[in-house]
Amino acid sequence: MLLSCTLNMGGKVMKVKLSKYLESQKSVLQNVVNILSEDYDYVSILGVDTKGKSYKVRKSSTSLEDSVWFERGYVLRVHNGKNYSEYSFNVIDEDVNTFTNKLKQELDRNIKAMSDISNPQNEYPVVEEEALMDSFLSEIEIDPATVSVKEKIAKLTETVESGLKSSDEVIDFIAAYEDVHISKVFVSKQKTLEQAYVWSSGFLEALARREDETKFFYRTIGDMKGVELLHELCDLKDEVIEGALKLLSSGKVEPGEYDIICAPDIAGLIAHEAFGHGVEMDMFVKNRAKAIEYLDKPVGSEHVSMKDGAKSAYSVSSYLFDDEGSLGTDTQVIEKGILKSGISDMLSALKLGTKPTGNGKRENFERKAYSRMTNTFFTAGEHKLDDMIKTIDKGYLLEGILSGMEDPKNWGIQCMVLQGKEILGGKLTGKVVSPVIMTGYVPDVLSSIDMVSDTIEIDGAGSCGKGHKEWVKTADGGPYIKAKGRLG
Amino acid sequence: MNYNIKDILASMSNIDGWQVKEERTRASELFFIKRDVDMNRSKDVHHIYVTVYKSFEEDGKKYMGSSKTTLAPTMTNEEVVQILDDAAYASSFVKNEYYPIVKPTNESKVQLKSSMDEKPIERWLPEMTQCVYDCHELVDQALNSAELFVDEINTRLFNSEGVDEQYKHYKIFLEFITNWKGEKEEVELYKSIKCSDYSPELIKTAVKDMIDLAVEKSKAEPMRTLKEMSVLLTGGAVRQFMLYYADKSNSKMIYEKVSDFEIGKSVQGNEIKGDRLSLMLDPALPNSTFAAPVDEDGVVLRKTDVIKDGILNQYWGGHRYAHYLDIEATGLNRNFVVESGSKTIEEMKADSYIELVEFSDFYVDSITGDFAGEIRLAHYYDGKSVKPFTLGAISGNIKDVQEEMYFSKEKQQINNYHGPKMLQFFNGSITGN
Repeated sequence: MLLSCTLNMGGKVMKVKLSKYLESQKSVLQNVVNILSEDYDYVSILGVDTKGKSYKVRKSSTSLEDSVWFERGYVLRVHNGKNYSEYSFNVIDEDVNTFTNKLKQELDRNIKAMSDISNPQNEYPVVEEEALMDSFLSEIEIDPATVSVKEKIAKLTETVESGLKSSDEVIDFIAAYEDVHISKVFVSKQKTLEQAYVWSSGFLEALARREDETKFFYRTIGDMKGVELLHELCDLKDEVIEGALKLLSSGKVEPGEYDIICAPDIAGLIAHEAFGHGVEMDMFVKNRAKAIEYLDKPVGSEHVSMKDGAKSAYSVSSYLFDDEGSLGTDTQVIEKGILKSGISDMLSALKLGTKPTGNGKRENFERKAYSRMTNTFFTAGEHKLDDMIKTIDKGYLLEGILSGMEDPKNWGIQCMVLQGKEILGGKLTGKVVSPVIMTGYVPDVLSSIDMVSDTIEIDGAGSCGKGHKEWVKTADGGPYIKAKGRLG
Repeated sequence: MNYNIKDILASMSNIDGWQVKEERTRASELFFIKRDVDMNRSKDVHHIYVTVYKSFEEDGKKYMGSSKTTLAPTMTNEEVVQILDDAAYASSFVKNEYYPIVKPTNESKVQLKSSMDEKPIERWLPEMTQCVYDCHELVDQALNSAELFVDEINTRLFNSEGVDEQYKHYKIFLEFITNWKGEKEEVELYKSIKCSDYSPELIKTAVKDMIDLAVEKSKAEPMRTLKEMSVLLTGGAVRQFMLYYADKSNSKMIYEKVSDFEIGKSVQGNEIKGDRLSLMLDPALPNSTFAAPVDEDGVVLRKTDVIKDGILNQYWGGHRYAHYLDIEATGLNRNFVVESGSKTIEEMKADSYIELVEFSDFYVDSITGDFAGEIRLAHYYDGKSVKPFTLGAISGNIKDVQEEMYFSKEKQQINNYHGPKMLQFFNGSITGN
């Protein structure tokens, strides 16, 4: 076991440190905010310094590069008299006065360009903040910086080589892992916030071929952990191999409506696509969300309760503050089938007269903040999975996410699912269908939920786009849920 | 910057080569709700991407290790030296079959031209905004929101072998939502367009078409189950479908044995009854944000016939996998041009059909050939009249339909795809609502 010396599970936990670079820039940012506050009624700066490495090993190649989440830079936000303007940059001159003048020129040049457009401008009030100084440093068992590249690649290589040897039908095996260290500071006239946390994620994927048929199967894992997660990832190898070989004998589902049980990953996908996107409150501002008509009304059966929030669970989106300096919260989105609340960024909350829920997230410092999900999941029920299967005469247990797409206005749902395990006469038959597309009308799916398992699983391996862009890290999950679904 | 990247790399004795890609991006962005400007953003950022290479031998076999890292302009000289030293050390554990670093050549390169050079990017925003909002009489009722991004990107790519290329290009991105309230509930549709030049007609046509489609969707009935239909794919779904063949012809997928395509053999099965696919790469495709003189490793890009009349002519891809397969590197040229087919759209619509106009997200898996999508708007012609439908889904596998499919004579461009506007295949099944 290559990492046995370092992967001592249950060992000491350590606090993650804030980036030295950001630490050194805090006073500069404070100065910039003070100087610009003479010209603008609201000024804030978010500074980010995110580092991480991404490792991928497969049969014929190995790659090592910085994580796609790498960033070091700033976004400045000001109230321009009518609404808000932002400027993203990643170079700071040494002389703070000269530099601040440059920032002002850039802001004003673009504000002027906006005013040259004949369209009217939306107006927003100035953010009212209370004085706050706070800090969050997450805890991990194994700091990614203390485990060498050699050890990480060796662990992945060992897993790939073992996977490839398992069957002649396995034509490739991929093991990918990344660890990411995030540091952020937020400075405004009233607030000085800082946070640093580490998350890790990865996937194993097996490609199998029999004659002309090629299939793949994969498992992902992601959590607010250090290198300890690499060990958990590699333990999934046998399950992935078995899954891929099984899919070589898979059939196609006969299109139609079935009793289905969604595994926690698919439950999470439904929570995310069906309701998570639908309650992002910037969609309320644009009148793009049907959910606004359903607040305090039933949207699902009494078995359905759902949460989102940085404080709702401890996973990859468990931060102290969001990318607008709002503190993370724990939002009860659905309670026993009744839609209770949306999730919002700061500007949407200003427009709607509500409190921001700490869901203002950016893809990176170069992008706009939108209302985004954090840790999104259906909460646990009281049933056992075996009992749920026993109630189904003909149906499928759905597992494995291929993709999902939201439709907040019309509540359509599209989930591409890797496999459906056949259930006949209350038992799993061992047969699988793949792939499966599940479509439907969200309230119909949620209203049909009649059993919910008593434990939940949350996975933070994925990321989420808004429309087709603006990717942010999110975690999703839930219990096993039994419902009716249209499969094809 | 506090450091000179070229000097630092040149002084490193623990690497055998390097490559640097520098990008300086200036951008102006506008966000609209209905007609109102909701927010403006701008940016000025500098990114430095470095790859270090280290060759080594084990058991008589030669390997090339590499490690990619990103540098921020605010890093100190000491930080950069440390990061690059770490990358050099790490590269010796990345055990890939040997390949050389790209060398400079005297080949002529594509010259990128754009009318965007005429003025600063933020000065383009008023006329682009006007294109969006002056294209349709229903725009105030039907255009829900829009986002407009204009990026000017200056790229310099240089390596230890002497490659040194600089070019400027633009990325224009417009995303918008149209909605419409008819007699039933309000409906909406999503659209985004990407291009590299100021194209008023492209913007106006896209917005106008999506407003018309939203009005039509508001009248649509839920889809019913249909079997053994003539299926007509349109728009982005055609592009997705065609890119399956581009992906399967890529040298990386060939080397990794993920693709079973072979040069000189049919890519569409054994008994092709319909149109034969011809797919070409064109680095100079006008108005594509992927147009470039060289690829990400410095390989000079040129026009390449990949598939001709349904037969694979040449694998395409970067220099590394070309070296492994002992073929000429075409470069990672991501502009795909597909030849027109034999039928007009009118001819495709002569008999009953289901035309799939908008999907939530049309999914095509390049490994398995599986495709699927939830339908947001479709036209169903039963031989008598055309009616709009919504909801429902299609699923299938390209290998099951490719022997008899037809491409339209009419063409479309979607950023880096220029090819048939419509694709027809048979025996498709739609899962109804």
